[in-house]
Amino acid sequence: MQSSEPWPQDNSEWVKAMSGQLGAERQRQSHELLGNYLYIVAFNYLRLYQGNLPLLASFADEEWAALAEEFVQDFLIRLTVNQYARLQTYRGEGSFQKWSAVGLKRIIDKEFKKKSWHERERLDDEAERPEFAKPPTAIDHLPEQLALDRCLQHLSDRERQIFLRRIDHDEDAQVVANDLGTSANAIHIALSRIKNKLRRCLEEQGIGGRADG
Amino acid sequence: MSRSIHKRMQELLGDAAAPDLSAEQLDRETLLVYIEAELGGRDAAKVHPQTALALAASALWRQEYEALKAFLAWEAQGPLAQPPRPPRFDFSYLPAPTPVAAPTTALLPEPSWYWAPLGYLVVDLANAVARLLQPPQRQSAYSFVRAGQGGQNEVHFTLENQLDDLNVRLTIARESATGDQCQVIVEAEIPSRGGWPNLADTIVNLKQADTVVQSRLTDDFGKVVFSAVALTQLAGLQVEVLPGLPPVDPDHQSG
Repeated sequence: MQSSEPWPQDNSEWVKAMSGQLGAERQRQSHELLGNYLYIVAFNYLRLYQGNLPLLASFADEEWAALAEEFVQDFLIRLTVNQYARLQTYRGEGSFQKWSAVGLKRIIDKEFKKKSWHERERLDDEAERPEFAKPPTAIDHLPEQLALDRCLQHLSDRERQIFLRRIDHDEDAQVVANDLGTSANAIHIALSRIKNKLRRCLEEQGIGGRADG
Repeated sequence: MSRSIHKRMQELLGDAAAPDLSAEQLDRETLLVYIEAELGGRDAAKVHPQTALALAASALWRQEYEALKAFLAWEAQGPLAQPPRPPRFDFSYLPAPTPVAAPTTALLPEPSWYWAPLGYLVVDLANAVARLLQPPQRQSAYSFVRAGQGGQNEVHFTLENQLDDLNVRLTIARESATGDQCQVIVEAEIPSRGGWPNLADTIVNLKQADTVVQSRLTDDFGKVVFSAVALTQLAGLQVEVLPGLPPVDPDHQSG
């Protein structure tokens, strides 16, 4: 986990390195250094979070690590999209690492508010939970639908199956896991990875953009 | 159809109706500076009076302040537990390094590889030794794409999208800066399996001449590590990756 690469001296150097102003090699090093630090923060935050999210309590260390890796990967990519728009919002007043940790925390908090992470509670009180807001008409979502269909084609059959069964059909992770010969936790982690892939693909087509985070 | 795409986009892009704090007279970096001052033992309200006033005026921001302060205090108190393994990030979203000036000597060859008729990959490490002993000066783009090179202590080779349903990443790393031993790390990804934790049990052999000197099965991440490999032996070694074949017992090998 320790890297022999030199840490940026100050906040300004962090931003320059992260945005590629100090060269591609230094950029990759700085992303790796920040990623390694955030990975430990995320891993521990997930362990802490299990008190708020029953589903997480069943995760093993390896599974928390895999999930932490996905969150950090997502955060690092968000910093680069739209010509480093997110990075440019940082003014250099607070510590860059803490600023990043706070951004990562927001991503994790937002993700865990999503429906797919509350499966067990949903099963308990399905009837009482508020229904989704009324969806817009099909025409409103046509560009997104076309883009998402294209992105889904880039997934493996297994990944596509996990995404569609969990998101479209609300199938229980354990049911999907049984069919695919794996564990429910592995399905949750795989779904996070798949969503990252799809978000990245959508951004490449000009949809979404992960500046917020 | 409409409902389905709505659900998908909500999962991918989040809820646009989430409370928006950005319209208020405060932002998270200002809040971060304020909390850092507090955690550093300073009188934050005195140093940053405008922030203190903004916090007093907004219940939403006070709630955010409490949550962030608890998080930053927790993160700072340490030490945090080490995860069970190092992370493996995919940096392909970053721009590739710009090629350096033209070399004055011939490019070093990449490791050669071939797909054996019985259905396994063979990589010859002879050229990797030369790379390990050379300073990092050059970029190349052969079928083996070098993903990165950390000085003289580590070389990487990636074989990606060249074989049907098998990607291989090879890392050869000196065990110390001046040491005469290295690690050979092989990561075998079989895309059809859908990634971790379904990448276990691919056989990876380290061979010298026609003899298997070490044999391992990949872990759930598709990874095996061969340690304490002598640099002097490296030139004569081959790595074999055998997806879907039974393990080989080195004790039963001839020679």
